[in-house]
Amino acid sequence: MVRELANDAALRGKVIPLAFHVDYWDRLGWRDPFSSPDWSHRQSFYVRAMGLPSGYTPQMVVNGARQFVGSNAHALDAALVEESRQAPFGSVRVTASRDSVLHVAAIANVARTEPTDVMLAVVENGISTKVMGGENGGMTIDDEAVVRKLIRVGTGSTAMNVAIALDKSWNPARLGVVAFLQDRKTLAIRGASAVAPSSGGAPQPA
Amino acid sequence: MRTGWIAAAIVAAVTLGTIAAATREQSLGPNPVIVELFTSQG
Repeated sequence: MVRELANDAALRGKVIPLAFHVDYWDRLGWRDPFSSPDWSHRQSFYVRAMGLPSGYTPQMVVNGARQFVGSNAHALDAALVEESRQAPFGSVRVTASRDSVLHVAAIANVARTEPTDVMLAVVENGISTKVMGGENGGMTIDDEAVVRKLIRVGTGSTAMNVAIALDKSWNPARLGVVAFLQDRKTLAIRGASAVAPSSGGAPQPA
Repeated sequence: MRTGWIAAAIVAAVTLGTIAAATREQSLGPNPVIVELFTSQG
């Protein structure tokens, strides 16, 4: 489903997928190379905020406010319609470019007093992995929007420039950068922006 | 005959998929939406 969203040109910039690979299934015979305990931890925040008994995979969370099984297209469509009509917490704009590092500039204007985090995600698209063990052993899995890095760059209105080191395992040509506004308490997300980094030079302010 | 039915089914599936994608885009409101997927290859 994430692949479908990521590859639909009509949805670009309107629906922004982020794939977090959790690490708690790594013990079953295949260590997901994109998994991180940080992503399992992020899922646990949603589990707690939404009063769920536990996390599961695949689990989809839309705008930090609605969750359902990741293969449920009807639930996704309903969530997209509803959430795309929610008023944003403010505006957020991001620009990015890459040379030996990834340069990111973001400006967020938050129009509320509740603690609102400005989050920045680096994603990688078009990854193909031959799975050598576990339940999917022998399969080749194509992934999109794999989250490589997630950082909180500010709280409330923020203007920032950051240089992010390019990990050797990343394909720089396939990176994307996403900025979004998230309520620290409810975890609701309202306001987002995404960009594909241009090559060469530091970005102009967003 | 059977090949014809299969071809028709494929065309229908592709058409439905295209319509679904178009409908999804047209029904969206004005604000971007973040879709997080928690998943695993294992």
